[in-house]
Amino acid sequence: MISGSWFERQKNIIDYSLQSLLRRRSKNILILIIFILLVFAVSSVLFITESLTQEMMITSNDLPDITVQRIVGGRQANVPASYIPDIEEIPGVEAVETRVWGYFYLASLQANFTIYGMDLNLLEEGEYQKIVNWKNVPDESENQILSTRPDFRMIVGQGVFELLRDIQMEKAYLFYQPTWEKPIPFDIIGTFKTETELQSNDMMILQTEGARRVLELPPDEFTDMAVYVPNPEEIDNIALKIRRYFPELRTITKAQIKNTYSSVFGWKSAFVLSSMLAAIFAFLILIWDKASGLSPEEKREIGILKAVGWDTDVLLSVKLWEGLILSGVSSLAGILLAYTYTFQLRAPGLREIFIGWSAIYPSFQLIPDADPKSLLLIITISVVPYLAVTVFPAWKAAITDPDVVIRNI
Amino acid sequence: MANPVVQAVNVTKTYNRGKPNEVTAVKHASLKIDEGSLVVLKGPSGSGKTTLLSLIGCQTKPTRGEVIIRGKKVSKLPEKFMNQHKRRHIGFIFQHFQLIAGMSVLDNIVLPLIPEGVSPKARNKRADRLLEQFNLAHRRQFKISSLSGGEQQRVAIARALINNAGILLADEPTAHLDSKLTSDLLDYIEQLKQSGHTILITSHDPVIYQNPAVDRVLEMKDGQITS
Amino acid sequence: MRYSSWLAIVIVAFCLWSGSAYMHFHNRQIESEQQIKLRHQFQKAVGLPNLAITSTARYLRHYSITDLTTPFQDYPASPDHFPAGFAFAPPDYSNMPCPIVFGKPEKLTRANTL
Repeated sequence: MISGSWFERQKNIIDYSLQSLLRRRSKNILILIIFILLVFAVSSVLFITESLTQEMMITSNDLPDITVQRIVGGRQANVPASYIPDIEEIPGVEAVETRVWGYFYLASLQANFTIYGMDLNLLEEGEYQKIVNWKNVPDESENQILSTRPDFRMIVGQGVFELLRDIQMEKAYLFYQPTWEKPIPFDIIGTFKTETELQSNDMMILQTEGARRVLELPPDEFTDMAVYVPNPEEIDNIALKIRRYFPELRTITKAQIKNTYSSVFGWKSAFVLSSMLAAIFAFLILIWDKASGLSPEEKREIGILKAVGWDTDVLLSVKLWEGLILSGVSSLAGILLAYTYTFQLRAPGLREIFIGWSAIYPSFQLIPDADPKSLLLIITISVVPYLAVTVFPAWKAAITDPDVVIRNI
Repeated sequence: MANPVVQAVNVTKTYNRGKPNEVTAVKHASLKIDEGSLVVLKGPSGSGKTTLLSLIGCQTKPTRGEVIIRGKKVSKLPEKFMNQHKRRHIGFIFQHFQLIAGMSVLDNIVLPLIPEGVSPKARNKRADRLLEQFNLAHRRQFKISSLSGGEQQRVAIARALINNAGILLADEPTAHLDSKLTSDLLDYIEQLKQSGHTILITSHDPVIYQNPAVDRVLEMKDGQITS
Repeated sequence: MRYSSWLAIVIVAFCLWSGSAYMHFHNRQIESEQQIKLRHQFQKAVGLPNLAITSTARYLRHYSITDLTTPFQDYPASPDHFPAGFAFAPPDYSNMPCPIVFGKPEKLTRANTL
């Protein structure tokens, strides 16, 4: 009797496991396909959720510490300038920034653009300069209407710019509302770089005074205020104080905004997953039905192997390898397919559900973000139960005496 | 006087102990088989022949008594060591052949070598020799389900011999064979005996136990060896 | 060739696939470094929250700081009842007759069939 090494023995066992998987080819291929589909569906939902949430979270620390709105009659109203000195006096407040912003509805496109008023000269300085593709401002001599009046300049997001180019307004845009006497022309002095499009795509950043004209905001009134608090521990206290002093003001802290960030795609993923729940369960039951329990033929095979001298542990290793190969290959393939689908193919189908319908879409190249913990979780919840349902019945069959097989056909 | 290679001392086997369907298949049976002899165990069906063969073939453990194979009390060994001893010393030919239908002839024959860790090359070399010997070489890659009864029988014998085991046990080997195949089988058994194998056969077929090559005939009745 | 060698090939193939996915992941991380830098700057310059992925309604574009009474602020887990929750655009209602037309029942029935 020649006995091989432990390694050779394992190779023999793996050979036999694969041979036995291939012998029940149709059943195992069905399990493999369903398994891959299940892992793929769940992990692509997880991938897109994590990465969209991450996209929002990246810049969340740069948000103002407290956003202050004035609520009148349950609706947001303009904030008069008189609040500013009072809030500035609260100890711990570094600065109060007034903001002028709003929306401009473009009926022909049925889309809302965000109009934000700021001093555009700020963007020409320092680090900010890099976020804008500056355009040559047309000379006064070239066009009378498109004069370079400093208050009527704007920088637009890439998505807005492309729409305006389609209507030949890429140099200047005329804001117009039916109630106005005449349109207000704005020179486009630059576009935001495409890198920022997830935030800037539908934005029109106007010089503050011009923005006031477009938004019809009276002087000395603002849309809302941003309060900066250097000490993060103090943010909640100061927000509380603002609400105490001015019950009509509403405060939204950075932490509250982060909460909405983390929940917005969280509930979408729960929505998608729960609508797939019936299918997931149906497939799980199918796998359970196919994989668990042993057919009389398989029981007979285990008996024969025991009768020709196989040990129980060898039989269990065979079953373990079978389960490990099948579930391991399918969960790995499912995860890798989900990665390709989400980040390389940009999740067609799923993306529409997650971001919703919109008039202008950003080109939307997600930054991949995969949490190793959730990958490990997917692998664990797919491999371990599969092994349990396949190995346990085999173990029960393997501990019986082989002479039972000899008696029965 | 040759050594007894197989020895059963006062073995009793009771199935379903403590249950209403308790059956004692073998009662206080003792036997000794010498090296190189051909012994036939005869008796009517239900007399306990197969159970005794299973006990000797290490397929199950006796309730009481001892089975000694080549000087080792296998019935007292833990399962792992009993299996190892079985793989190395005993070849078993089952009544219904017990081949795995979906597998090829070659794969069936080499089954006992897989847990031993024998490499495929060595496995196939040994199997090819046996295939040649049993005139099965042309059926090497055939599925078991496509073979005739006689061919399946030969595959079963080849599988029992792949371990180079000295002891060969056969349970009703002629039960599914016609007279032509039975005489072929007897030829093979005689060949094996001549090559030094110790053979124990259960049968109620007179062609077997009246064969001149048989050294001893033991008769069983109601779980006891009567002669 | 023995089956275990095939398994080894499959494992190697999976390793290569995982490796290429990781390379993609790594490259995207490096590529996005510049992007993230610019986005930090943009966020500092323009303090408005949320992504520009939907511009359908004002309570969708900046829902984190929208009115107290808008759907998301009421209850973040409320079912999906705003138009951007769907993958397709809402139907064009602009040319539809008003469903409630007093004194003209025949127009009412027509409106219902639409």
